[in-house]
Amino acid sequence: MNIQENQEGKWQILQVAGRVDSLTAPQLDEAFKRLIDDGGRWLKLDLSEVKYLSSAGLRVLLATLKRVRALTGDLQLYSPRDNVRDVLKISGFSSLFTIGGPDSSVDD
Amino acid sequence: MNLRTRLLLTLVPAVLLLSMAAILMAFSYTEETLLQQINRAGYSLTYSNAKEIDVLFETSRKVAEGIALGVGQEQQLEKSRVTSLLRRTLKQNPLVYGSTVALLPEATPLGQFAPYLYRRDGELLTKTLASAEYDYTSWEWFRRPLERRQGVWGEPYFDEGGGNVMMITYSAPIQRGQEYAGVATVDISLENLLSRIRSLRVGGTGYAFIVTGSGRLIAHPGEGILSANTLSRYADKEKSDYFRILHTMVSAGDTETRELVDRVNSKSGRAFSSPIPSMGGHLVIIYPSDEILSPLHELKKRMLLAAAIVAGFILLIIPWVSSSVTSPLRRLVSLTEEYSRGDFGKQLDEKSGPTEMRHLSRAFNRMGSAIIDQIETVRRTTAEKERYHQELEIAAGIQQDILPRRFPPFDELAEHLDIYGITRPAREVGGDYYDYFRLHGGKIAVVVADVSGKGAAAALFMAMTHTLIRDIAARRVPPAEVLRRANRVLAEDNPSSMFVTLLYGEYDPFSGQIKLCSAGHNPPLVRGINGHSRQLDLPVRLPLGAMHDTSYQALDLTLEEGEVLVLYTDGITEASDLNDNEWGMERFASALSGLSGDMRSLTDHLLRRVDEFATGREQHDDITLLLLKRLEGGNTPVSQIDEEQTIRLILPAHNDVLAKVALITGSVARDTGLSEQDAQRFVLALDEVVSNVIMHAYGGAPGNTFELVLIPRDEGLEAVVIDSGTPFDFEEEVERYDGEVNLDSPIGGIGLFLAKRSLDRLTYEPGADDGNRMFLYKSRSDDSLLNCTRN
Repeated sequence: MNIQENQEGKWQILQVAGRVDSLTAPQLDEAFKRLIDDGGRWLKLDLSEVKYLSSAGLRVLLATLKRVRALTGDLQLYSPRDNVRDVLKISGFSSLFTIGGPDSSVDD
Repeated sequence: MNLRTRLLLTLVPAVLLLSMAAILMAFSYTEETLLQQINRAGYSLTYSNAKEIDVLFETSRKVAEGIALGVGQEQQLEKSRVTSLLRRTLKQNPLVYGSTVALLPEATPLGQFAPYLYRRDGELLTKTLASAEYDYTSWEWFRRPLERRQGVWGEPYFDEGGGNVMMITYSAPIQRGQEYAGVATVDISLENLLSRIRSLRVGGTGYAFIVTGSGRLIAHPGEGILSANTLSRYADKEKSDYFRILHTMVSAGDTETRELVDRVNSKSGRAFSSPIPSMGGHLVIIYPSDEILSPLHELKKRMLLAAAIVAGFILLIIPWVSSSVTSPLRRLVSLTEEYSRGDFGKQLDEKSGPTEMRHLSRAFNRMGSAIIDQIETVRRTTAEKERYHQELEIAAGIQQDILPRRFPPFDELAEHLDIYGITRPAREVGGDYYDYFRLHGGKIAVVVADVSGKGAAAALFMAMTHTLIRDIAARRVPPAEVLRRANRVLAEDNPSSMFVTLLYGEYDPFSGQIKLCSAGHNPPLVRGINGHSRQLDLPVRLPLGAMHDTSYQALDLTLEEGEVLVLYTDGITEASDLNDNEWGMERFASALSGLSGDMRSLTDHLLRRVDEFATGREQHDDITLLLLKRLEGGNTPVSQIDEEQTIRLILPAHNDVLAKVALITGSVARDTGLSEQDAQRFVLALDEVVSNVIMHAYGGAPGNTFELVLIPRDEGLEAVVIDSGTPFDFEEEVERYDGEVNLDSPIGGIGLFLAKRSLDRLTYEPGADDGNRMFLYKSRSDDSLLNCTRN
């Protein structure tokens, strides 16, 4: 799993590539924590290169969302692939997050 | 009656009697002595007084006789000389009240001559007794001495002329030559005597008196100074014994004391008498008895008091004595009661108390120790028995636990088969067992076995067989080979020559095909859809453990939908009634027919029928039943399992393996014909299950492995994940997350939720020894759209 960071206005964007599973989810969690510790409140996760997302990743997303919402910020998801979108939907997480991207109109 | 009462009742009267007897003896001796002393004292008192009185009379007599002698020897008898003799005599003898010399008129020249000199108021007066009116020669006091020619005492009399005092006169004859010439008299006053006698008052009411020679009484308190009658008259006249006794005593002249009832004060008294020789009378003293005996009475009182004190002391001491005697007994009683309540903590003191009690205490203590030893022995024996029984029960529990009890046992096969089994040992533990377990390729193994013999040995052999069969069956060898190998092991080292008859079958729940192999076991039955049973004709081979090289042969058959395979042991068919009739195959088959319902109720029904038949008899052999029914119309199309395609992987339980698992699983899923979405969902589900094993079953600990079996089927893909970690409560875990997420959601249970949602079926079997199994199944059917809509 690779993580890249970009800035776009007030949004800080994390771009992750590869699998987000029990093995790699802790790295993503670390990255989010570092951003928040550095003052980040408005976060976006670019899921376009994420091939797989398991419940371990979902737990990181939920934990991060709780933190930034507590700081009156937000975490938004961007451009998940079909299988990842499927996971978000099955798990009920798609109702919790703002999911942007090419197909965002379909889900929101 | 207790000891104290008994002692009181026996000792007190005895002691009282003894002390009374002693007191009485002492008393009577004392009384006798005292009486003797009193008598002696009384007599001596009487005697000494009588003597003194006697002296008085004797003196008077001598005075009179001196005068008589003087007058008799006078040569020249002249009146003046006689008178002066009288005067001189009176002067010399103050006791003499008066004196006279009276001469016979014819005997002397003096003729009638009788001068009388007497005292009055200290003066000596003289008068003559010779006168015309008083012829003294006719008086007794003159005549009697002359007649008797000796001196005589006259009767006492009151001298009216001389102051009215009581007098008594002694008259002595005067002899001149050969002739009696007259009489000389001496009067003495008895006043002194009376006062002396009166002073002799003995005690309070005693008294003294004189009995004169003629028997008259002087100074008797009842009769005046001088009694009117003589004692003999009184004795005749009076009715009382008083005077008679006195008369007898005085006449006898003895010195014996006499008992009498005192006439004066009507009390019993004691009389003493002593003679007064000079006057021929007696002095009598009368003592009242009570006064004499008052010291005796006092003595008696004191002795009785002493006796009472002794008795009281004994009364007081007996309870103390009896208590000191009985206190060890009481202690013995209380200790015996404690023993009888089971408290053996105390012992009797063997070192104190009387010898007998010490012996008793020692014997009692020995008895106590013996009882304690006995109880200990009984307790130990009981405990051993109890332990043995407990161990048997534990063994029975373990044996029952060996038997699979999960009904229905395989969730994913619940639509295909109904299976139920039971083993009921005749004793605590038995040699029968049934078994079923999952085999490779989705098959199910079924086993029914009957070890020769019963009890613990059979149970051990059964456990060994059970493990052996499972172990060999897991090696994917055909049924005949399973039995051959098991037999080889069991027969190899079998000094006790035990053996086991056994039926082993491999059943495919999807096709109904079954391979059955018998090692000397009762032929199984198949109950048809019409209810009739048929017996399967299996190739007959030796039981396991009997002979080293035995080969076995399987029978292939197909169980049609609705048919029931009935495996059993001979405990069923050989159950006997009171007349030794066996239940037999016919009754068995008849009981099997005509009953619908699931296998559990059919089993219960069969057991009830057997028990009804064998009512009144103890179950003599283990009973085992295993019923397997192929259900009608399972909704899953049955397909052959291609065993060649099954993938079995042993993988390290670490998160690095997840990507590889996903890769392999995705590939197999697509090969099996799952759609892309279904394949990805299967991969997701398996990933979550494996993550769960790694993180939870093993707690992330390194060095563990898990087994992944992928079974491609015509209709879908099945996966089994087997771990040997900590089992978990599947139902609870699945319900932790319900698909409704919000910011307060707990971050748990999402994984299994995702897995379950992504599959057609997800089941879990926690296992103790052969691992926990998670079964995943995803159908190939193209209903993914339906799934999407449902989700």
